[in-house]
Amino acid sequence: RSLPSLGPAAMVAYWRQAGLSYIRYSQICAQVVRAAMKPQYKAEAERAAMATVKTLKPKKE
Amino acid sequence: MFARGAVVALYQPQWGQVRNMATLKDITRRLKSIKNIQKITKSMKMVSAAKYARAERELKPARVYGTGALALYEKAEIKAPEDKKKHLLIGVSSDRGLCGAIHTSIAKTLKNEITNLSNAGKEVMVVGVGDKIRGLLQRTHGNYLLLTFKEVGRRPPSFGDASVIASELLNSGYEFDEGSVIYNRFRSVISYKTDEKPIFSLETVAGSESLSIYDDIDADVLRNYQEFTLANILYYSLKESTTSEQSARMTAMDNASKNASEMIDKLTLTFNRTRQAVITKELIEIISGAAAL
Repeated sequence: RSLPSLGPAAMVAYWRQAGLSYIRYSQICAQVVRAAMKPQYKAEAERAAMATVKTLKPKKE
Repeated sequence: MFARGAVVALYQPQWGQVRNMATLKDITRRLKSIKNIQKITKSMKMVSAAKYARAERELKPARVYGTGALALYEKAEIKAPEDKKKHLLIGVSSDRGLCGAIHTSIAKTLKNEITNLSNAGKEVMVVGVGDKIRGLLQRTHGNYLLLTFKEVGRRPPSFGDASVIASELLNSGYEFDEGSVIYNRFRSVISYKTDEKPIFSLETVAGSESLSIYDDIDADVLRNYQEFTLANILYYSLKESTTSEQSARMTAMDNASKNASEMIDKLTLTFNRTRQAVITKELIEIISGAAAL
């Protein structure tokens, strides 16, 4: 998606201006929160948040 | 000619006799292999039962995400205008088979939708979550496939998975106007239903009249909400899908074990019959041999 145009009093978030999507922004925030957790809860949180899905782009002939 | 015909006729019955009588060794081999298969299917059922219990436990909190995300669409009665051209279909399934009709039901729905939408003149692209969807659609509808995802179903899905899928979708460059997620909704241990949930593009939601009721919504907030909703809906459909898959696999493996034990019973009977026939034949040979002396 292209950069949002700054219309009249557009409150575009700083991370949106930097090119991040909301999903990426929330992922980074969650990473920071997990890094700040106490060790006994951290391991559990890290395990719950693991993403195992891999993308496969179909080859164009 | 008459003598030659008689010689040919003599050979035929011997061939037939050899084929009908399965030897003890053949039956023993078959029996052993079917017993092995029964052990395997039984253990697969146990594994699926454990995974199903966990998946159902994790589904309860996950349902809240899905219903919450869709609540805005339902309450505000957002509908896509009819003239929109670009459609996106997301089929959620997994990589592994032996789970009954899970994958084929999704593929069938996808194929029907593709046909309907193409006939209505719309442009359709399909995203397959799970290798099985790719396999089922590649041959006939390969040119509709936008993206596929693998390594689904090995471990229970997390929100991270849904975020990855949502991010790839948004970065793919396919600006869809309207879309739907097709997944298997979990109803109970023995039943699931293929269901469809809508996703709308930013323009559709922003252009909807009923949105003016809501306070403090500007383009940026709406865009964030759209992206987050996409991840939410995918997370919800992934959770439902895995629970349905594990319950279906449990049922399928249970049926397979039952069928295997039926076959074992039948084969054991033929084995005993054949064993007795072999003993009788040997006895007859011995007796007739002794009588010949």
